[in-house]
Amino acid sequence: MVIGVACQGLVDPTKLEQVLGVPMEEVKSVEDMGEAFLVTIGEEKREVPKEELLREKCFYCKHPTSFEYDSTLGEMVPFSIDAGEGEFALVEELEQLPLEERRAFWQKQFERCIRCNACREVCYACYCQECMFDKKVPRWLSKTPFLSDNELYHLIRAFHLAGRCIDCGECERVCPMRIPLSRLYKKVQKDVAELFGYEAGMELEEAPPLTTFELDDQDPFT
Amino acid sequence: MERKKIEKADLGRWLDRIAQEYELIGPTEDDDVIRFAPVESSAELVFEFANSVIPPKSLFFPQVESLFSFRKRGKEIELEATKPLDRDRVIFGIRNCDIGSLSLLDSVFSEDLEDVYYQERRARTALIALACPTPPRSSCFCTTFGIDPLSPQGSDILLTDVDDVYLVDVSTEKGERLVALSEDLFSPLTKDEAQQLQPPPVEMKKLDVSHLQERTEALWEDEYWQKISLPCLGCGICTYVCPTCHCFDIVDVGSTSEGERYRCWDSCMYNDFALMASGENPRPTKRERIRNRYFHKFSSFPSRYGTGYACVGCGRCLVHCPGGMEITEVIKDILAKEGVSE
Repeated sequence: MVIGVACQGLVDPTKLEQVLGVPMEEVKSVEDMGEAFLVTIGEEKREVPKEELLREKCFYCKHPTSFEYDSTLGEMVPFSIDAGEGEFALVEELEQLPLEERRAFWQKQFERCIRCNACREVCYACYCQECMFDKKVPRWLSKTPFLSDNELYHLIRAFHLAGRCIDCGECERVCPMRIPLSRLYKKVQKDVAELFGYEAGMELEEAPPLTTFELDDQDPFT
Repeated sequence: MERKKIEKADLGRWLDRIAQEYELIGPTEDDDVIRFAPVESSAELVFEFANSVIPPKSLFFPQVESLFSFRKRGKEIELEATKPLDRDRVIFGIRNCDIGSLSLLDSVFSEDLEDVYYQERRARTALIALACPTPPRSSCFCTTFGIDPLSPQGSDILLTDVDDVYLVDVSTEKGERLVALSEDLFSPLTKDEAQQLQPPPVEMKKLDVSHLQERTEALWEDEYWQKISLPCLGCGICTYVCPTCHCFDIVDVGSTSEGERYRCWDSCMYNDFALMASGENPRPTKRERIRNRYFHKFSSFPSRYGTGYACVGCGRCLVHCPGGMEITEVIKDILAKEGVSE
């Protein structure tokens, strides 16, 4: 049985730290007050407008309300801000850069990856019994965090998630090294949208485009 | 040693002088991540910080390091050891929890044979510790394990931030050589100053862990491990941000005729950590892996090395665990299980 809720917006822990000026673990609780969050730090309570604390994805979220459910919890009225606009703005910003600068941007991010696998372990779309990165024979990748290994790890993950990533943002949340992984997966989402007109997670029965094919698929490589 | 002081405005000049003679390593901030990294000048350093995400153990036991290279010539095999360091180093800004972890790692890397890579890095590195700010982060609990965040123990020099100066406690000859590089920047404390310039006490949560080992050992078959394994993702964050975890894997990179042997951190939280060639896995689920981690910290490590527990209360694991597991809560649970609370 699925119980649907209307999302009231998600707090971005990084923004929370920046806006409040305290590390995350000092925050005791965050309460939803409708238009604002009530944050408790020690004995002190502070009301912060939602716009200042929401995750980036909340600003373009097109589906803040469950659409497949058996029953609902509360009224199905989500917190609304100008949704649906600028979904790929951060990706487009990167796409404007010359190839070498884009490469430098991601290398700087991947260089600090410690390969703790948290992004993989938390990913709802990772379901392989044995991940290719854990395979011993053949061994595709060692635990060595060389830049080339890290690039391979993240780029392979991005390709594997094409057409399946729903931008839940958990990978970015759990990353201890604050690598902006949502931005990487958003690019793949954008490509899948443009090439196949497909958005992951909308149809229960439909197979993701990269697990199947149709005769009239675009073929831009030929 | 007599306590000295250095004006805050002069600290950068001293560190720049050090950087001329040594490789200077200290806390840097990039993309909101604090990391210990080599710097050319003090301008690249941050001075107001809690602690780095990755502990400075990585400067002595790097996440990946080359041990030697190999080359096959006919039937002969040539081996060439990799030099761990080119220059002597100075680490600025290390905290006392992390210094405490180095003394634990010293036992590990000199157990049966001297680990030359680790030992050379230790011998050729001077530590300039920074006493912890007040109040400490709420995740800090180093005093639980007998660490004093304001003590000069284990460092070559301890700097304590008080008003406009740093108090300077030099404990070793290595430390004296560093001070001698810019002797004119340091001055002795007057009698009044010695009384007035005192850091405020650092207060934090402290647990009584005197019976932690036997309480842990009594719980081997307890269902507790199953219960706390539920929110665990099975990622390696807790082990990689831990200043005392030290398990590694060995990897050969290259071909069968020529290549390099590396060691790199491994994590007991990974499914394949205890996997044997036969396919047997003695720690098949997160229950066994989590139990193993806490048993190592609170039972087998102190038994094996005759040291304290393999935890220094830095709080990194509880800050970064995506599943919200807090080692302080685990300790309380273990103690409470036998009807003993803190």
